[in-house]
Amino acid sequence: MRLASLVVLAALSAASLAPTTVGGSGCASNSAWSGNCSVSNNGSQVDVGGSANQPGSGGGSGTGGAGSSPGRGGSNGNSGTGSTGNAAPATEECPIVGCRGNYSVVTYPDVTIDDLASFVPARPSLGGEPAGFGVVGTPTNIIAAASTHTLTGPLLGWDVTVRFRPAGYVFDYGDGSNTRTTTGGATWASLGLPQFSPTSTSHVYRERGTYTVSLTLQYSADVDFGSGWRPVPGYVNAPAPPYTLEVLEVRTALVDRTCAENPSGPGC
Amino acid sequence: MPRATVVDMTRRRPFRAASIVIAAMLGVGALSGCGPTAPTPTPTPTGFASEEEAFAAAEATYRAYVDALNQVDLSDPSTFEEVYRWTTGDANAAERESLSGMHANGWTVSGMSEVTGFSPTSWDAGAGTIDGIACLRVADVALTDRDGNSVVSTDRPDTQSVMIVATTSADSPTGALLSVVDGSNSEQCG
Repeated sequence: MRLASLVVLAALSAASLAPTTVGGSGCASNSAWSGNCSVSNNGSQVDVGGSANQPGSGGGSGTGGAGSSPGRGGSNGNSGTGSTGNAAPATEECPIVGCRGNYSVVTYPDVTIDDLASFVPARPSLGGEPAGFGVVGTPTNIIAAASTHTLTGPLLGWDVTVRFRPAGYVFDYGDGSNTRTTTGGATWASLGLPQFSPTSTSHVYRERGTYTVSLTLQYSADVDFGSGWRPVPGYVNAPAPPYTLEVLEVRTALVDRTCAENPSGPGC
Repeated sequence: MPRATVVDMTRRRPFRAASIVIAAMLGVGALSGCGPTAPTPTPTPTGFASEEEAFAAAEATYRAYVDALNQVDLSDPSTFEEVYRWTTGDANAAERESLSGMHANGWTVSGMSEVTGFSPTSWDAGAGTIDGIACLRVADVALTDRDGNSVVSTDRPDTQSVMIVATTSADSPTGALLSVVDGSNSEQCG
């Protein structure tokens, strides 16, 4: 908040301050090479981060700035490159930003988690192994899946991109027990474990019956007004569709023949 | 006759054991395979075993990406492919726009970018993402337009502060690809 909050809207000088007219997103090669990565230029706005918020007087005449690095040739890129553009910071008597004409200084709003109510993140998915079943006394694997994604839209009068990242998975196993994990879990096969092995999200049911597992995913959110990601304190909760499973008891018995051989045998 | 019965039983014993095993296997099979079809979960990629491993992969990925940038010849788009190979999603789209734009404008780049620091900030195993701040020294990089005039901004810092998000990917030699390469307000790069 503290840094990126100063935005100098300077339509006129935008092109000249940062000649990164290509792309202009984040810190891709052109931005890294030619300008300031914290400057995200969409052609109509320049976001100045930190203390370098004085549009140097010399920089006013756009292309002049570009031509100011004639001494760069010769030496094969050895050092001395500090001279590239440092001639410019001819700071003048103007002590604060906004004292020149044609500029206005605006401040991005503080965003709280409640402000994000209009941004509804994707619902996570919820399932389990064995599918729809569990066995009393042995781990049942519960698996949730969610991914980082972004949404865009207006927020407090600004166009904003909101990024949701899964931060916590709160499972309610339907038998009175809850747990919170930072991972959604994975299948036994993908973990390389045999069936009915304990996993970070598995649960052991003590009684047989039908249970409904529910999940609330806690997303942590970041917002980007065009000047970089800023975290928003708190979580946005997203419920998953419930997962119902039947928990059975398994009993073993010695039998003479398999059910295929003797369909009328005990337990067949 | 009773003798024959005894012999018969001893012969049957191993048979019984075998049928129990078969019954047990069928039981497990029925549990795992034959139940009603519930929604199959799509597991998140398992990714890395530990935080250190994830952080090391993110750093290796970013360094490989910068190495690829250092090999770029803006007049030869085939040199861009290596950069694209280390990126995905938004970062990939941004690089395609950036590099092809500079190529179309006839710009020339020279000098090396150097990773002078990398600080991982977080690892989300569930989402398979690693966040970090990288310091990229670009003071030796020159970028000129087709007339040979520098297009380097006068306020370019010697070292860029870069926020990256690496996403786990089975397609990557490091196990991760860069999905976000953004500016950062971090002051740790000086």
